[in-house]
Amino acid sequence: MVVILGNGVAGNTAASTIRHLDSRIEITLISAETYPEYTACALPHYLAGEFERQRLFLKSEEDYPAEGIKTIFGRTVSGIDPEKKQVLLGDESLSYDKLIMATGSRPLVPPIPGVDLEGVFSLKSPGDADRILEGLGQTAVVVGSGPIGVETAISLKKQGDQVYLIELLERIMPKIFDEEAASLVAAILEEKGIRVLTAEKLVQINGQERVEGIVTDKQQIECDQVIMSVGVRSNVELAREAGIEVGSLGGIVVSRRMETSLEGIFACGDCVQSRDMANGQEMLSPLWHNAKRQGIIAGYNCLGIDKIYPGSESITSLDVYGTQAVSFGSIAAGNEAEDVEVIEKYSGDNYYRLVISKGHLIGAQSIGNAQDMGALLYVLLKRENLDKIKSMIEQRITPLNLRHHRVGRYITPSAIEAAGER
Amino acid sequence: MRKMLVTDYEKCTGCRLCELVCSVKHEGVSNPARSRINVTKWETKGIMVPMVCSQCEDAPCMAVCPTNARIRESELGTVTVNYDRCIGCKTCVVACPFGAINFDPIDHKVISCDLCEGDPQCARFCETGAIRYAEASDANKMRQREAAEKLYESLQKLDGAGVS
Repeated sequence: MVVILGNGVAGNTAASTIRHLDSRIEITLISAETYPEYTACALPHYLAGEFERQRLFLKSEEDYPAEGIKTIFGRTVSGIDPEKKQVLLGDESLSYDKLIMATGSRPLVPPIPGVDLEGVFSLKSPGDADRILEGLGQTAVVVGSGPIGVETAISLKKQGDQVYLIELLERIMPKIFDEEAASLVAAILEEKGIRVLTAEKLVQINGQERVEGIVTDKQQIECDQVIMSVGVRSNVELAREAGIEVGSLGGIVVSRRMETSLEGIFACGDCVQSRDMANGQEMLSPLWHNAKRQGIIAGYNCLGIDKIYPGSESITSLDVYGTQAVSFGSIAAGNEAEDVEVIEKYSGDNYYRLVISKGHLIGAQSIGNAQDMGALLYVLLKRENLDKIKSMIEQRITPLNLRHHRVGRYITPSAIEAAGER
Repeated sequence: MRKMLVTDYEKCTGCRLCELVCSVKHEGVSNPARSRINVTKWETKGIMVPMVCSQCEDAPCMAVCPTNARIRESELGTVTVNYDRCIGCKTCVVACPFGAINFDPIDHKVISCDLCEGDPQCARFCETGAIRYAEASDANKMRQREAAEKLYESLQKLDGAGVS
């Protein structure tokens, strides 16, 4: 009997993987939420009024029994007893042979005065989106300008709100883009009427019961809603209480087989910390595609079939009013210790920047048409040496290796040389 | 044995008929911007390369799709899009190592090769045989290899002659 905690992409992928490999094994999936599996990536479209609510869901309630997966929805797991191999649900308990923790993450709520007021939201679940839509007013303030913040700002603007996007740091999406790319995105947002306020700190949220406005270190803004999007935190409390090792980044520590420090207990998705495929460093990567792959790996190993997780990939791609903003790997800012060089270029309406360190591509950013970016992604993930790429481009054997042909659009041999000399 | 689209760069003249018939077949209009196959010209080298979805076994587009909208059709083995699920985020476009997923600028949807239900129009109309719909057999792989080696040799010769 396999018990899976969590009904997100990691938990569901693990469940389906196990079912695919073993048609008879008993699988029980437990979730505190009552929804069938949904994709948070579609929430901005729902919030903007572009999608029906139904499109958020990847499964229906009937899909679980059809796949032979038992569900316990709407119940909170109160503890895990690794000695007895039991999951505790209040007074009840459920035995397992193998346990998969796919407990996900939750939005970070900074301790700011007024953050508990009615009208302050995060955007993580369909219910969050429902509540934001119910309380739509005239003006919304989005705090935090990561991809979720930017997408939320766009969605609320499309709903007719006056929207302010507040970022503590000097540029928007500061973990994903360097200054130039971030300013290009910010310019698009501004042009569409979203007020982008960088280097500005939220100090307080005003109101009696409901939000009436906010105070930053620079100004006061009257508003009806505040959406907090300042990041997520891994849900690791259950694991920690059960004696499972939690890492310094705040995620459950797992082996490359997605096994935790306790034998027979696996973990996958937003609740774990993993290695970056490009540089081998430990990272938190609350991204869909990594969670999905981890779920597959956990599913295999939980049945005793050896499969190794190759590492996480940092890929962010978002649509900013029809302009594609893409980032892979690391950015240059904050990476000075690594001897970083950049190659950047405007070509027509497109802008791109490659971040290079010690002869390897460690990051790429692109604003505009990103159709050829995939080639760069693989140079980055496979840690291909730029000298090798340079010689392949120069020797014109590219038609034999189409990836290098497309890489050649971004990176010319002379640019590689120039970056090396600086 | 599954069939696949096999392209031969040496035979491609860059006529772009494949793009036209592809867009006609799928979108009902003759518009290369809406084609699922694209002839990439490497102008300084005079090389034309028809780029089309490889229907990869371990497909990056399927791995990155945040809504599980990229799905494998069992019959032809193609990787297609479930448009009821697709949210148009274009992460698949970005992740494809071959740039083989296109974004239709009119209908605003991602498009990629579906092998025309087993009768790919690009291969049917390709006058020079640069695009063929063939069995992915070992013999075929060998032919590809031969062609590739020939191409490599010819390029080396061009290098030697100082032509660029």
